[in-house]
This record gives sequence, C-alpha cells and structure tokens, in this order.
Amino acid sequence: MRVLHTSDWQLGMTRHYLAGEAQARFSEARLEAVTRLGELAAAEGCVCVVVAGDVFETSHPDARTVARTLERLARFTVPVYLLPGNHDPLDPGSIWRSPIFQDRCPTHVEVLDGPEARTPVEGLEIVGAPWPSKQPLGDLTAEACEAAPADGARRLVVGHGGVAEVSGGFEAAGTIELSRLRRAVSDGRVRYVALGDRHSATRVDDDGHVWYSGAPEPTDYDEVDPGTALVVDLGPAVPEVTRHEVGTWRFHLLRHAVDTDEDLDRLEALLDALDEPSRAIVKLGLEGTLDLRQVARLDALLEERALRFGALEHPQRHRDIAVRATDDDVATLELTGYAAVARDALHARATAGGHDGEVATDALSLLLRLAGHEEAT
Amino acid sequence: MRIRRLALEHVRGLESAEVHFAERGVTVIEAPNETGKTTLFDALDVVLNEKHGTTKQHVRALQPHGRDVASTIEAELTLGPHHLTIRKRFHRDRLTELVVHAPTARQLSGTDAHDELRRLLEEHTDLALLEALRFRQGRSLDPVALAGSRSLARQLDASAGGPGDPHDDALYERIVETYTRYFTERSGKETKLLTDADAAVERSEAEVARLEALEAKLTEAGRRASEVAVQRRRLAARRDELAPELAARRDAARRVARLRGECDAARAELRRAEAERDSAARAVVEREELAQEVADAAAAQAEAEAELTRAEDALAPLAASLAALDGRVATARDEAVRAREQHERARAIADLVRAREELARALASRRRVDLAIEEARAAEAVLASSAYTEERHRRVRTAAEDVRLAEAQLGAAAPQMIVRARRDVEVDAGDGPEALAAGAELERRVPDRRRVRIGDLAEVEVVAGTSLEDRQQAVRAAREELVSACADLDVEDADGAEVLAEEIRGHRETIAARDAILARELDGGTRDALETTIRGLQDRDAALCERLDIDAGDAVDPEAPPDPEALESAESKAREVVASLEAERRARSEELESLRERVIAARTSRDGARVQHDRRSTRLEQARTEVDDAALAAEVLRAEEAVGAAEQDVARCDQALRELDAETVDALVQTAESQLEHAREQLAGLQEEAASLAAVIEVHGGEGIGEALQAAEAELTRRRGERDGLRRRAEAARTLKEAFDRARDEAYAAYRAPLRERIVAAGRMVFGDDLDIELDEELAITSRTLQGITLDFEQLSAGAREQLAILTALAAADLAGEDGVPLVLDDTLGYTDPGRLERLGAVLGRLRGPQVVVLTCVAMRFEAIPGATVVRLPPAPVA
Repeated sequence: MRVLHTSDWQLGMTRHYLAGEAQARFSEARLEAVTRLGELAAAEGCVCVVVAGDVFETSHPDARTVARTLERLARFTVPVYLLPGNHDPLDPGSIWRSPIFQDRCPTHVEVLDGPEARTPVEGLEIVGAPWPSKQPLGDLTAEACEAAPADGARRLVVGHGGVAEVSGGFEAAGTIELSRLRRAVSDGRVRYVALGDRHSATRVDDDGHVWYSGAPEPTDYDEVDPGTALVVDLGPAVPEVTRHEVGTWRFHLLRHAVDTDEDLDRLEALLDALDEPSRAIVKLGLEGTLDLRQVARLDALLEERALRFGALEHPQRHRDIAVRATDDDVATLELTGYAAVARDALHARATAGGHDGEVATDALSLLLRLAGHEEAT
Repeated sequence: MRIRRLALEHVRGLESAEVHFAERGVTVIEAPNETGKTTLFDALDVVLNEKHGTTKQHVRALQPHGRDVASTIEAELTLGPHHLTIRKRFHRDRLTELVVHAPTARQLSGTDAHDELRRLLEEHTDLALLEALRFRQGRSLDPVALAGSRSLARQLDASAGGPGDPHDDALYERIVETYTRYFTERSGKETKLLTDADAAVERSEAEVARLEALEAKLTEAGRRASEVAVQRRRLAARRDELAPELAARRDAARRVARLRGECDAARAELRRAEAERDSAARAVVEREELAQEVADAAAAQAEAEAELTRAEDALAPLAASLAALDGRVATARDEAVRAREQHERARAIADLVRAREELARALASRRRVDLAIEEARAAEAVLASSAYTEERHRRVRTAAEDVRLAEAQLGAAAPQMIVRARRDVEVDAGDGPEALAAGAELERRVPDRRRVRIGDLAEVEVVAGTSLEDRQQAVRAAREELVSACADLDVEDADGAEVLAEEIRGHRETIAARDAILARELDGGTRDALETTIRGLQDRDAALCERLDIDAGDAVDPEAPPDPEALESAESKAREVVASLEAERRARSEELESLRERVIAARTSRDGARVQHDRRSTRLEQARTEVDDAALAAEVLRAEEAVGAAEQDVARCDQALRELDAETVDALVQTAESQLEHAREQLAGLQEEAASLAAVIEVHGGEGIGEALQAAEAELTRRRGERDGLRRRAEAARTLKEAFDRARDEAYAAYRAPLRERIVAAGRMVFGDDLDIELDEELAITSRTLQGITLDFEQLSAGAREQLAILTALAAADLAGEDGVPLVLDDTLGYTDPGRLERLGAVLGRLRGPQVVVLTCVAMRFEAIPGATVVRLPPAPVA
C-alpha cells in the first residue's frame, strides 16, 4: 500500500531576483511539479497523496494561485490530503476557510483541519497535525501521534515543523521532539510520520518511520538536494521509502576568488558549464580585488550571462569585490592636456580610499569605458 | 611665414610693381586709393593657393580689364627654415616655378612646384592664423577668431604647461552625454531617470507598507475572531447562571421594601408628636416672658419719673450762676478797654520823643553843611581873585635862588677886608657897630664898596675894582628878575610869596573839607533830601502832638515816661481775663441748655414707659382670660407622653430591618443586576466585533494579500537595487564630469592667460592703465573693463572694437613667434580717432618680432610708427 509523501509546495512564492518572465516560468514550473506528482502517484500506484504542510507560500495567496492549484489537483486520480503548515496556518482568516478555496475544492481533496482520522482506503488512517496559527503552543505532531490509540493500526500522521534533533534546537515555534514520535511508533500508535518544512528529503529517525519528503521544486540556495518526493510503501512493518526526482529548476551558489584574469577565465568557464541555464538561479559569492579593466570585463561577462540564466545575482561593486584603479588602468587611459589632469585627480582620490575613493574609482571606470568607446569608433 | 618680396606684372590696374617687405616690424605701404594696395595681397592669395591653370573667377579677375595679357605674380617667402621664391603666370603662357634658395637650393616647376609649395605651406604655416590676422577693407568688427590657430594653440599650450589639445572634446562630450542622462546640464538637477527610480522605490515602499498593514489587520482579525468566539461561549453560560439568582434576590428585596414603608410611617408619627410637645412648651415659655415684660415696664416707668425730678431740681441754681457770671464778664471787658488805651498813648509818646531827637540831629547836620558850603564859597572867591599860580610861585623862587647865587659868587670873588684892633675899639663895617677887643679881627668881603668906621677914629672906604663888574651886573639882573616875578605874583618879596602860597593852600583845604563834610552829613544824599527829611520829621511831630492832645512844641513830661512794654503786658492780661470768663460763661450756658433738654427727654421717657406698661398689662390679662397658666402646663405633660410612645414604634421597626440585613439584600440585587447587564453588554459587543471581524476576513481574506505582499517586497528589493545602481552610476558620472570641468576650467584659464596678458599690456598703451579684458574659450574678447565699467564686446563703439581686434591680432602675432604669419592691416582703423591712432602706432612700432604690413592711402595715419619701413606705390597709370 503506497502513499505519495510530498510537502512544501509553497505555491505563490515570489523571488526578487527573478525578473518578469523568469518569475512567471518559475511559478509555472512549481505548478507543473504538482501535476508531475499526480502522475507519479498514479504511476506508482499510490492510494493517496499527503502534502505535509506549506502547500501555499502564505495563508493569503492570490486567488489565481489557488484556482490554478485546485485545477491541477482536480486531475489527481487519488485522494489528496493537504496539511496547513507554518506558512499557511489554519486561522479563521486563512485561505482554507475562504470561499475561494472551499467553493473550488474537489471532493477528493481534503484539508487536514482537525484531529479526526481520514480513511482513503480500508486499512489506512491518515491523521493530520495542522498549524492553527503561526505561533502554536506545543509540539502539534507529537500530540497528534500520542492522541492516536496504541492499536498497531496502519496509521500515517502528517506533521510539519523542524525536528530538534535535525535542526539542533527548540527555539522555533512548533518544533517537533523526535523521541516522542519514536515512542508513539514503538507504542504502535503510528506507522509513519510524513513531515514537511525541511526542503531536502531526509530520513529523520534511524529506523525510517519519520521522513521529510523535501520540496518538489527548490526555493532557495541553501537547500541540499531539493526537488524530490517520496513514495512510501506502508505494507511492511518498516515503511519502504523511495525517493523520486521531480524538480526542474536549480539554485547555484558559486563561491569564487577573483584577483587575476585567469580567475575571470575560470569563472566564465564555470558559468558556462552550468546545465539548463534558463532554469538556473545563480548567485555569485565573489571575493578578491580587481582593477578597472578586470571589473569592466567581469561586468560584461555577467551582463551577457544574465540574459541566459533564470536569474544571476551580481556581486556588488565595492561591497562584494574590491575595485582598485591601478597604474596600468591609468596608463591605459592615454589622455593629454586637461583630460589627463582630471584623470590623475580622480586616480589620486581613488587611491586615497573611503567612500570618495569608491566614487572616484567608479568615475575612472566610467572614464575607461567612455575612452574605450572612443578607441572603438 | 614671412613675406620678403612681392612682384606683380599685369595684375589688375598694376602694370608692374615690386615691393620689398621688412621681415620683422612694420612695413607701411602707402598709395592713393585705387592704386592696387589690396591687389598686392589678393595676388599673394592667388599665387599661394591657386594652380596656374585655374579658371576660377577671382583669378580671372586679376587680368587687366580689356587686355588679353598674362598676369605674373612672384612672391619671395620665408617658410620655417626655407627661403624660396614662387612665381606663377596666369591667363596666358601659364607657368609655375618654385626656387628654393635655402637650406638646400633646388628648383621645381609645374604641378610639382605647386604641390611642393603647398606641402611646405601646410607644414610651416598656420593658415588659420594667416586668415585671422588679415584685416581686409570692410572687415567685420567681430572679435578676431583665433580658436582655429594651430601655432597659437601650440604656443599657448606651451605657456599653460601643455601639451594637449583642449579643443578635441569628443571624450568630454561623451562624458557630458553620460552626465545628462542623470542630471540636467545647466542646473545639475536630477533627471527623470533618477527621480523616477526614487519614485518607484517610494511607490513600492508604500505598497509594501499598505499590504503589511492589511496582512497584519487580517491576521489580527483571525486571531481575534478565535478569541471572540471563546469569550462569547463563556459569557453566554454566565448569563444563563445569573437569571435565577437575580429572581431570588429580588424577592428578599421586596420584603425589605415593605418593612421600610412601616418604618417610615412610625418615624412620621414620631416627628408629629415631637412637634406638638414643642408647641406646648413654647406656649408656657411665652406666657412667662409676657409676665416678665409687664414687670420690666413698671420698673422702667418708676425710673423715668425719678430722673425727671432730678433734672428739674438742678435747673434753678444753674440759671443763677450764669447770671452772676454775665456781670463779671462786663467788668472785665471795661478793664481791658482801659488797658489798651493806656498802652497806645505810651507808644505815641515814645514815638514823639524819638521823632524830636531825629529832628534835632537833622537840623544840626543841616547847620554843619550850610557852614561848610559858606566857608568853601568864600575860599573859592579868594582863589578866584588871587594872582597866584604855581608857575608864578616857581618863578619867584627861582629868581630868589638866582639872586642868592649871584650874590654868593660876587662875594667869593670880592676882596677881603680884615680889620685888626690894636685896642678895644667899636667898629662899624656898614652893618652896625660891633665891639672889637684888642687883638681881635673883623673880616668882611667887599663886593663893590664898603665904608668902615672905626670908632670915632676913622672912616675907611674900601672900593672893589672893575674886575667885579660882571658879577655885580649878574646880581643886579637877578634882583630885577626877582622884583618882576614878585610884582607878577602881587607880593613884596620872596617871603611874601611863601606866605601867599600858604594862604592859597589853606583855602584849597577848606574847599576839600566841604566835600568831606557833605559826604559825611548827607550820607550820599543831597541837601534837598535832608531838607525833605526835616520836613517829614516836623510833620510827624505835629501829628503825634495832635494824637496826644498837646500843643505842638510842648514838651512831654520827662519825669515819668510811660513804659509801653509794661502797659502792653497789662492789656494782654486784661484780655485773657475776659476770654477766660467768656469761656466759663459759654460752658455754663451749654450746661444749662443740656439740662433743659434732659428735662424734656425725661418727660418723654416717663410718658413712653407709662404707655408700654399699660399695653403689656392689658395683653397679659387677655392671654390669661383665654387660657390660664395651669392649662398650659397640663398640655405639655400630655404631649411628652405621646412622643415616648412614637419613639418605641420607630425602634421596633429599625430592629426588624437590621435583622433582615436590608443593606446587603439591596447590594446583592444590584450586583446581580449589573453582572447580568454587563454580561449582556459584553455579549452584544462581542457579537458586533465578531460581525465586523467576519467582514474584514471576508473582504480581505480573498485578496491574496500574503502573496501580493511577497511580490511587493520582491519588487521593492528589485527597485532599490535598480535605484542604488542608478545612483552609483549617476554619482560616477557626476564625479567624472566635475573632475573634467575643473581640470578644463583650470586649463582654459591657464591657456588664455598669456594671450590676455599681451592684449592687456598692449591695450593699456592705447586705452589707459586700468584696461582689462576677458577672453572666452574661443580666445575671443567678450568684455572690456575701463575705469571700472565693464561692457560686453558688442556694446563697445565701432572704434573700440576695431582697436581691440587689432590689439588681439597683434598679441596673437607676437605670441606666435617664429611660427607666426604676417599681420596685414588693409586700410583699417577708419573708426579710430587721431589720439588713439597715434598710440596704436606706438604699439605697432614696439613690435620687433612679428611681420606687420600696413596698407594705407593716408600716410599720415601711420606716420607715428617708429622704425617702420615705408614703401610708396607708384600712382596708377591712366587706364
């Protein structure tokens, strides 16, 4: 008996570094992932799909986001259970209670909005631990597990939140205590705990009763191996969990030292080696010092790539990389007369440093560009 | 370039002409109008620029009118290191020849010659400057355009520390172009690009804030809605509990209310009984008071009667005493009158005595005065009649002295006669007999002759000789003078004169004594005033006598003179007695008056007391007739018993209320009622709040605020990034432009300075020491300052503009140095007055470096140029 375990769809998510059409494609890809999950559930013979929280990015998503999501879910061939998580908790004003959702929600899609168990098929109980607000008072998942009878039934608890043993602390609201889940499992109250919140697929306990499914599409640079869903076979005593890759976008955080032309060559090669640039979101963590000419080259190569990548976050001049107007830069500017005087004055200011030095450096950089333009014409 | 020589043949009106130029300094070419001055330099243009085969109109125009002849132009020039001659012939027999004399001699012809000439010109001549320094006839009065001059630029650059070409501004223009994307060029205000970016950020911030507020509102509404639901359930339960409790408490309260009614009735009865008792007690008190009043009235009446009797008894003795006092007052007044009369008489007598003493003094004084006046008058009469003067007196004295001197001198010279007695004998030597004892001698001088009788013995006459004649004559003359002087003074002799002088001095003293006496006796006044005083005193004497009733002149009794002070004191004592007696009389009289009033008042008082007593007695009797005193006392007893009974009833009721704990019962009902009311109000409030929260959730819940907020935040981050990038680029562009502007301004300032200094230095010789000018970037004069007044170039007079243009050209020619070209002034300075022209000539004359050619038809104009080479063109041949 298989169940498709997924979570953290975070539909309606916006990223500032995604401009215009990239944001549209990113959003569309996330909806496509939902469709792929439905197909995966059907292909794998799952009896239902559980979404362990954060279906939406916020508890007040746009009506279009809701409508498009429900339209995709309507095409699922098995029951779907949606759990309100910390992003989209079940407060009275939330989307779950609004007519926008309720009026369109297909009959095979249910919100796990209370303690009562659902039975998609005979011999399988689904119990949800929904978030009632962004600041829950206790460990909702453990409480749901402990509330279930110790009858050894094939029971799946759907929960959401960080696990202290994984995230390393209880600071955040709604943190889950793994020992309580283990006890519930060993007491025969729960067979499998389907967790959401962590965007990387993770087995939480040693025996394999507690899992994070990971997000079907990545959402940020710091995620390890996102873009997954789990097919959980609840037949055996210990569930058999299979990971499936469903993501199409990738976040890349590239850390690179740039001090020489060779470094820039390597950076260029590194960028060009990335797969599927149109679905790559790239952030450059550059360190080093460049002269004006090198900065101009860096700017040019990044500008060109920015057109091809899904997103390319530029390093900020002066803040991320030091820019230095060198004697060579000045020598390149073969100016005479007053232009040479102006150039040398700016160079002196640039060398003096401070904010004025940065501005003077930028001015020299601009002068280099304008003078270069002169050479080209 | 320098022009060494120009030779023309068959060019316009010139049949043939050759002019040698000074290579440095001024060459003045003088010729009348229409004789080809201008033709010289038009020909130079053509030979330098045009090929011999050209058919250009201005070249064709060089051919003399109506003659088909060849025009030949030959120019000998210095071009940099080259010394050369170019010769071209146009129209017919065309040719071009170039002969290079130095540094290496060579010769070319045809196109090669022309091309080589052009090459050398391009290489060694600043053609733009050549054009700028050519002042043709009728040239415009615009500033000289020097901006295109390469050689000048080179020199100025060298002065400014060049090298560099400030006019190659393509890079600067691109900088400005970049800058103007972000800022307006003139005022440096931010352009729409920047302000739009700011506005976009602000819009995004506002949108984020709006959505955050909405989301917070929505979240708060959800949270609150949950709370409200819980509270409503709790309150409804509480309301249901409160209703039966309130009913029970209200029953108890109703019982308390009934008992309170009974209590109130008992208290009312008590108050009524107390009032009756008080009324009865008051009636008893009033009766006692009335009886007392009657007794008081009887006593008052008796007292009034006694008073009246006392007053009437005192009246008679007081009246008698007053009458006796009246008599004493009259006597005292008579006494006082007498005392006053005696006092006044005594005063009058004293006055009379004093007046008579004064009169006696005045009369004595008048006598002394009159005597002095009389004596003085007599003395004055003597003085007036006397022949005495000081002069005459001195003459007598002098004459007497002279006589004595003359006599002494005569005596000294006269022979001495000595008579020695041999026995006692009487001798008379002319001055009386004298007994001379034996042996004694008698000596005498004999001035003229002397007869000596010796006893009766002999008479001897001694006669002086003639040697004493002069002295005897002098003695005689002195004696005659003395006799004359004495006669003049009307005296016998010198001693008589002294006596007279003594008399005269006595008279003068008498006159002086009169003035002293007058001053002393009259004390500064006149005799008339003294007379008036005397008359006044006599009148006073008469008046006082009349007052004292005695005849004028009668003496007052000197034996017993009355003492006015004692009499005054007696008068004042008499008056005091009168005042004292009158005061006593007034006091008595007032006492009597007061006593009479007292009698009247006592009578009135007695009558009032009688009436009062009668009235009160009547009232008491009436009251007793109505209710007697015993009945009043009985009523008081009855009313006090009724009060006691009512007090017991009230105490009973209060006890019953206390037992029921009435206060608590009421409070409990109120508490329950307010709790119930409060619960209902809260419920109503919560219901209302729930409805409004539901409305908020319904309105905003479906708006997708969360997603919109995230999108707005992303947009804000993007726009901030864009804005920051834009600002950074704008700042870079501004910094770059400012650096260029500053450097450019400094370069231009440094670059213009040498030219400006030369123009000013030369110009001060023409305009005066306070001249100053400004040059623009094109090296053209923009303004002139003279005597503190700055005018734009266009505002200047035509003459000033022309002079400044020539000064500019001179400065440029001077500055260009060896790279320079000739400055050609063709019939210029027509606008310039003779004074300035002379000074301009001096400026021209000072130039040693550049080559200057002045073409003029009026030689006088330029005769002031020192050291100029003057060339006169021959007059034009008759065409």
